[in-house]
Amino acid sequence: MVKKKLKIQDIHCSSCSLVIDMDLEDLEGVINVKTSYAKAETEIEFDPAKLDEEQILATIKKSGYTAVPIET
Amino acid sequence: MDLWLIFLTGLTVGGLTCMVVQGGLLAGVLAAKEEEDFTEGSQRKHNVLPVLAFLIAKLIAYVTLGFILGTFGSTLAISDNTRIVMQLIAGAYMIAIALDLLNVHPIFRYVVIQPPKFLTRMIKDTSKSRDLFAPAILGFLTVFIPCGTTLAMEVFAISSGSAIWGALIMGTFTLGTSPLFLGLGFITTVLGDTFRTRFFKLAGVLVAYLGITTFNGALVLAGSPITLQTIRDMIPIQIDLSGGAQAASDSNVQVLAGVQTANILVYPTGYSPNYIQIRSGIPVRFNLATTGGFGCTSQFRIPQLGLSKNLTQNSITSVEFTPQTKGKIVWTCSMGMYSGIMKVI
Repeated sequence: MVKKKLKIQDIHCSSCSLVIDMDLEDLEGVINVKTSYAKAETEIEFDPAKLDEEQILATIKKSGYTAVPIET
Repeated sequence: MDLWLIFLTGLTVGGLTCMVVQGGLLAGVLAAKEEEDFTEGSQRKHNVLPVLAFLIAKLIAYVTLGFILGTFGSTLAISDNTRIVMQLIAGAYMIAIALDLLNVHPIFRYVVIQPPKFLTRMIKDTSKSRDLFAPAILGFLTVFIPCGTTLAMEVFAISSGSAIWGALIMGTFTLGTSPLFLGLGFITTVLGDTFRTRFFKLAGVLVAYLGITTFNGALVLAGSPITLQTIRDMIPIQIDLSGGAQAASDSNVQVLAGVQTANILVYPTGYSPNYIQIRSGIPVRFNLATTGGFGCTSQFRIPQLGLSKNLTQNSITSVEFTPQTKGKIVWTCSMGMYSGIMKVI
C-alpha cells in the first residue's frame, strides 16, 4: 500500500472536496481517500499494483481540479 | 428582516455555489434511474418527477433544520445579553464565510465545516441507488453537504432566535435555490468556470452584507457608541444609505396632558418618522402603530433605557419612559436591523 499527499491548487469550495473524494473512490485500487478543503490537500492510500500516481492526477483533473504531489 | 434578500441570495448565488456537488449527485440519481427505465424497456423519460421529489424533500429538510436552529437560538438567547453576544458571533462568522467566498486568504477555509466521512458515504451511496425514493432521500441528505452560503444562512437562522423565523429563513433560501435545479445540466454546461468563480465573489459580497448588518444590529442592540449609523453621522458629507427612507425626520411630538406624545408608524422594515426631537425630564409616550407584515420590528427596543416591548399586529401599542440625559437615544427592533433616533434636548 502506498500513501500520498496531494496539494489541490484550485479548490474553491467546501463541497469540492466531496467531489474529489467521490471520484477517486470510484477508481480500482483506492483504499482510502480524504480531502480537506481547509488544507487544500488530498490524502490517498492506494494499491500500486492496480493504480499509479498518473491515473490519480488524471482523475482529479477530470473532476475539474489541478493536483500536485507533495514530497514527503 | 428581509426575506426577499434571502430569496435572491438563494436564487442567484446560493443555487450556484451549492449546486457543484448537489447537482452532480442529483444527476447521478437521475442517470441511475434512467438506466433502469431503459433496461425495463420503457421509452418514457420522466426526469421532472424525481427532481421535484428531490426539491420537496430538500425544502422539508431545510425548513425542519431552520426550525431546530431557531429553537436552538431561542434557548441560547435567554437574556438580552446572551442574545447580543450570539448575534455578534453570528455576524462575525458570516463575515468570515464571506471572506472565504471572496478568497481573501486561505485561513478562512477553516471556518467551513466539513461533514464526517460516514455521512458523505451515505450521500454517495444514495446517489447511486436506483430506489424509487432515492431522489427524495438525497434531498434530505443535502442538509449535510457543506456550502458556504448555506452555512451563512444556518447561522443567520440561529441568530434570529426564533423557531418560526429560523424555518422561514431556511425555507425561503431553499425555495430560492430550487429553480436552478430544474434547469440542471443545462446551466452547468452553459456556465463556464470563470463565470462560476465570479458568482462566488457575488455570493461573498451578499453574505458579507448579511454579516455586517447582523453584526451592526448587535452593536445597536448593545447600545454601542460605535455603529454604522454613528459612523455615518460623524462623516461630514451625508451619504444616504437608505435610499430616501432616512429623510423621514419629523417632529410630530405633541404635549398631551404633560406627556410628550409621538405617533410612530412601524413598518416591517423601518419606522416613520425615524428621527424625533424631545425634551429631557418630561415623560414621553410613543404610540407605535404596526402596519402589518411580519418582521423584526414586531419587537420594539430602546437598549439604552433597557426597554423592550412586543408589538401586536395591526394595532397601537404604547410605550412610556422619561429620558433624563440629553443626547441621542436609539430605538430599534429585536435584531437591531432597523432603528430610529430621538434627540433629547
